[in-house]
Amino acid sequence: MTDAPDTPTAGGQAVKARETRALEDALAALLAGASASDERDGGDDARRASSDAVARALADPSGLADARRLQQTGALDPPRARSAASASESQARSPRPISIWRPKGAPDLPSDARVFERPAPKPFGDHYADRRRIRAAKPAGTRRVCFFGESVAAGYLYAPTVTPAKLLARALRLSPASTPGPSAEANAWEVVDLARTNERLDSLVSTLEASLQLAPDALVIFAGNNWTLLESPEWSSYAPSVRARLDVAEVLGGDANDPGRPDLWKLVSKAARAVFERGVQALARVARIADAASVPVVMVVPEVNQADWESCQPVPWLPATEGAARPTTLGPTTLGPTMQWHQLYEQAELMLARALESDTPDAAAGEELESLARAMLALDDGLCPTSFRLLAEAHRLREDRAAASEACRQEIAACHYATLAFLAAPQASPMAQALMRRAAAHHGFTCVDLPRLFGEATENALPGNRLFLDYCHLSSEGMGLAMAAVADAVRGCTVQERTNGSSPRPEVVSALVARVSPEVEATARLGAAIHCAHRLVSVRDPGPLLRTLLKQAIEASPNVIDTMVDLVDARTSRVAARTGPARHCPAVLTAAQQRMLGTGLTLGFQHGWRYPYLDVDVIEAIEATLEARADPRAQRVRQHVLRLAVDRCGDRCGAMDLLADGYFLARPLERLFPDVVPSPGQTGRAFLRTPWPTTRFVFVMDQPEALRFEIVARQPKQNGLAPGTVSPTTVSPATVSPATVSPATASPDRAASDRAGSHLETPATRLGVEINGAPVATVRLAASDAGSGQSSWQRHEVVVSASALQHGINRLTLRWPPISLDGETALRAAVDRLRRGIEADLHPIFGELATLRCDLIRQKSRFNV
Amino acid sequence: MARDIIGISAFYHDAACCLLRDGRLLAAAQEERFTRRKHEARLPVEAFRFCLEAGGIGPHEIDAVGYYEQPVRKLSRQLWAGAREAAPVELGWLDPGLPERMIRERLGFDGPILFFGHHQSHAASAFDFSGFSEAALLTVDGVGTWTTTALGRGSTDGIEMVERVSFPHSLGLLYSAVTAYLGFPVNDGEARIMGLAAYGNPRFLDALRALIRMESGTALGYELDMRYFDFVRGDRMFSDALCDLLGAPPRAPASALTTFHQDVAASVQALLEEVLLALVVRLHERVPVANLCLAGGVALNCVANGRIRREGPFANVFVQPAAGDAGGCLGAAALAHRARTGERPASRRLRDLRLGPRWSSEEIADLLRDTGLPSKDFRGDQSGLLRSVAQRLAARQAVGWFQGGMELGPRALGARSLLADPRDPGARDRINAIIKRRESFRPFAPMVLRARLHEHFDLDTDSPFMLETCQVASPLALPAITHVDGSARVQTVDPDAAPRLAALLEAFDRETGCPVLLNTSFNRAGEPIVCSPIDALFTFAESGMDALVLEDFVLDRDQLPASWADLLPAWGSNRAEADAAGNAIDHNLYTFV
Repeated sequence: MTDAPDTPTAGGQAVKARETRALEDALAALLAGASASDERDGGDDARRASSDAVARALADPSGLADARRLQQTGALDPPRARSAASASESQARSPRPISIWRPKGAPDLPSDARVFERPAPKPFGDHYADRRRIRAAKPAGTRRVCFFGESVAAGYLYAPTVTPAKLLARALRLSPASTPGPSAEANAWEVVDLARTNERLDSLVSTLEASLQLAPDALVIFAGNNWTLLESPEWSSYAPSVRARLDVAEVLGGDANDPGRPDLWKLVSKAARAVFERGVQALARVARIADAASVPVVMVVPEVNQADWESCQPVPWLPATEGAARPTTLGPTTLGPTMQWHQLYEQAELMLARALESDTPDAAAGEELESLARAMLALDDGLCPTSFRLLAEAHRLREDRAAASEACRQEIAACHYATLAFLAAPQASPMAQALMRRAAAHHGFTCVDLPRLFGEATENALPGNRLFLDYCHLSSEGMGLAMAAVADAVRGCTVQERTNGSSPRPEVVSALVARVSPEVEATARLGAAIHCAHRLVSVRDPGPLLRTLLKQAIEASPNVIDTMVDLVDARTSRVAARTGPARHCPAVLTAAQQRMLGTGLTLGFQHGWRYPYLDVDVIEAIEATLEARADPRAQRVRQHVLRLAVDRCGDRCGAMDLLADGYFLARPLERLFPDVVPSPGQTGRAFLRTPWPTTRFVFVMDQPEALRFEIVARQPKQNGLAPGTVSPTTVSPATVSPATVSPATASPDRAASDRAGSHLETPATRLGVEINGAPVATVRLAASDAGSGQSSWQRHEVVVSASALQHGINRLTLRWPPISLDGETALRAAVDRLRRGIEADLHPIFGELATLRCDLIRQKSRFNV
Repeated sequence: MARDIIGISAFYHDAACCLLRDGRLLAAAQEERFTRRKHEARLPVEAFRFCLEAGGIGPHEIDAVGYYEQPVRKLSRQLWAGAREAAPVELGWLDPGLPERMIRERLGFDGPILFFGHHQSHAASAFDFSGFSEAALLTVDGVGTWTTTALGRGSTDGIEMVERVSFPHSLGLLYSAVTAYLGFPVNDGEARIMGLAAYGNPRFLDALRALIRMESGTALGYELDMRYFDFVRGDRMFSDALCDLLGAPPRAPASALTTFHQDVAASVQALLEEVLLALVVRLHERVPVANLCLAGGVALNCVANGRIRREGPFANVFVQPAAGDAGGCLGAAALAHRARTGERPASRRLRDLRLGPRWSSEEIADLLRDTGLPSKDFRGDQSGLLRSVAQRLAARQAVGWFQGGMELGPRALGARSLLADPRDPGARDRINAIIKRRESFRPFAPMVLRARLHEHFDLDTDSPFMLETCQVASPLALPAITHVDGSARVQTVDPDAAPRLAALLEAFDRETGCPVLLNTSFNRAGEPIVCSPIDALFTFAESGMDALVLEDFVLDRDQLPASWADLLPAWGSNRAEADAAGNAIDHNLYTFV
């Protein structure tokens, strides 16, 4: 139990208040002087004394917090910019750019002679359609549709060869069966593709407004998947903006003078409201623009992949609340709800893996899994998508499709940007879908409702791999189905052609899908496998999904096998072990990439080709897929992998660095996303932090022989607090039955893992080391505590015998000890940091790893140098 | 057990990190080389990782970290000046705890962190690596914390500053203000003013003397007349009064350069030299020793350095070659070493700046095998390699030269260099056209065998770091490296320090009778010098250079696959787009944050 803080006396409070006011006055005066043009002599001693005093005060955490509080009131803001009106006026002038298409020629060119041109498309793809020029004037007798949206609308994974816009143009030209044969003129359509990857609402509306220069006959908007991730980035404790962090602190922690219990729901609600309001305003703007130009709008409500995509995130810190679970104990350690949640998750993961081994749904396992998922939900209060995913899987085991679908939608709704540990996949939330439907009804847009349409087309199966390649990007069939429906909608609101009011005709969909060449289909499926491996953090083993995508790729075009082998060749291309971003050879430099060019099966940027990951899941899936086909090229895959063998991959000292740049992480995304995707102005980190209780790496052995690992690790501080700090928590009677927190029975393939034991059974300061699922060692970690005079980092050497290793790919798992700090204390510490404008973790950090190297034991150890 | 000290400079511009082991400089690198963002200001995470790897240590084995300035003092100056930033409502700079917190939380270091004065770090970076047992010290830059110019004394007992000039009075900022007036980016364009000055007549020297008042008598200080400047709480470096003084409006960036601009450049350069010479004379009166150490960004002005050495009162001058803020990490590490051990860190002069990452020939072979690029393998045949390269140079080819450890500081010294034949009258234009894209008035520098220096240059001392200019006095016509005023910024190459580079010069001499090569940095305009062989391959592809030497391998442009040189830039531009943000340098005004 920690000591209670000193209670300030009334007199002490008054002194503190006076000091705070003095600091605030001095700071405001100094910063106001920033714009005073009459202070040029530089000899102001009083100002110097004041700046010295304020600087010293800001070095104190409370002084900095005082200054941030003043900053948040706006009192330190500079005078407002004066150019808003002129910027707006200049925007209204014509001609002006339409997205990246810039007007060419003299400004006074007649508008119908205007041409808009984009920079040359890049060889490996970019965010935009590859159409180089757009003429303002429409060809005679042609109707023009402008098409807007995000990566789904841009045909991600198929672009630029196949895009929804190109399929829409084709669909519009096909004669609808429900009307008499239209004239040739009626079938002359042009679709201008203005969709782009990473589109945001503001720029979508700006592009739409600018597109009126093209005199469109209809506007199609296909967006909504990006809103959760891109429309509220300021509502994050990792926001690069100091100002945003102050706002997060205020919402999360309440008034600084009267702080309540940190409330994550307040934060996620605030973010959701911000997204909602942006969506409403953007669509209202669209309506005003379209009304003014008398152009009809077709709104496509996106659907997302439910069956074959998961959003698995670690739970944020959970304060113990009334009605929450009783803390469980682990030896001397008390586990709060956050650790209990992880304990339950580990059991659920094992149980699901066991249930999925069976070919037939296991209703009993489903019920057991549901019990665990509901216990997790009771702890996390719906804040974490993982619990809903487990619930969905439980319903699937019980073959309750409707309940599973509902749980999937809740899972997506629970992907709150503010509480994400990893960069989640963009998916339209139920709120976004509802908002779009409502806006369509309110503003008179024609609505193409993909959830309804896809449900009808698949007889209400959970949307999955048939219509999607990943979390939201459509397969060729998905694109065909959607665009056939959009074509009907466009015809309906432009040439008033009536359709039968339901699903598009299958022959139109088939004709559209037939436009996709085998090579494009195969590349998209292979690219999807890579992309999914990068973005999917799942409860289930991702192997089956990857193998399905690879199999589909080969079915589309067997020639893709050579591309797969080249992929492995490039991925295992090793520029000898280096520290830093130049460690690995970019794909574009490799001979393998050169071979792909011109084959029609070239992987580009959108396929995740640029990321320097080993992609071991993809490699294993390729090998398994080729082996299943008895394809001899599986052997080449194995040979490529062996290039990374420990004895061939050492640095100058002969050791192999498994930590550098995340290359050897089994799941590269399993790190806090600010560390993976550093934003401008944010600094990287010299060591790995993990928000999961386990961290997994891979390494390669040619011939199994004894290995030595060097590990430099520590238990991290949690927002500056020692991990072992235990604060008293108030708990009420448990809602989780003891049965649900008992160890689960091991499944056969997890037997080794179970032998290692649950991570929560690891003593509180022990790091467990496993090789290929079998425990090989535990080492004692020190807690991060700068005051002790000892470094919190400790170096450990672990020797692994040959019998624990295997030829080819091996897996190393580190099981971090649990954290006994309670969630409320951790969140309060986060709020304290945020109030000073400092980023903070809303999740526990289980371990920090500065060094992970291995070398063969027969080699002279570099560790003793 | 070895005592390992890390030195760090960061959060302004040119962040860098070094590792001092038992007082010996073991590794050092600038962060920009890893992140590929020129003048990278962020915490040098990658440079730190490199230093640990080079030392074979983990964060737990570091004895202490020395940081190159005192954040509270810096904040005081920022507050006084009403610091500007790109997003003024953010006020991120109000947090003086940021450097320590970042070192703790981003580098993971939990041992002692020692903070030193900005100019103290500059001074130590020069004195402690000079090899002098005692010296007078002069550090001059734009601004660090409060001090802009410091004069002091170094001895075995330590470093003592005897006089300081405080912000806003700054010789560096004076030069930067005129740089801005002449339409060049502040903090990046000063070297161009130095190059432009050679074309002009210093007819505005008298007028510009009004900008600065030297104190009378033996006082060491000076003051700016702030009526001519607007960098304190203003929106630009200079005021209208400077325009009135010079009788012309400021030059618009990228507009034509006229005789007027050349003359202004010559005048401010003359003023700088005049003030520096006066300072060193007075410093010598106060610290009457034979040796002088120079550091700070202004010490990169090699024309002034030459005059200080030739005309100043000190017999020996040592200029710390990474004299800008990047080199501050060296001083911080040296000071931390003193603080931890009570001993001076280094007794010998710094002779080699190739302290950064290096790649072995075997590693290069791995890379080339992966790429499938055609190359000639000269492993085990150095003479063949050098003959082959010398022949290419003699055939007027521009050759990328990637050898050994990467240099610290702004100069390429033969580790990451672009080489050409100095006798080639078209070399300057060609190199500018194919890679550098610099203004045509800027000279390229020569490197020469140390033993042959006097045959070609009027310089009576070693110049291993290219830090001063001298007159070309060669029997050969060397138009590619001779500036308009007949000067050159020469690098002397010592066979003991750089045997392969010296052997290349010998091979070129055998081939042509000329022991001199044109040497410029291996980078494209606006990019940092290349770090890795991958950077080198990208730059090779994206430029028109004829050949690339990666350790023992030679690649020829005409042997490359046709598509390759198109695809790499496409990949690179995507890379650049992703990294576009993050450069903290504001080119309109010296950023004080």
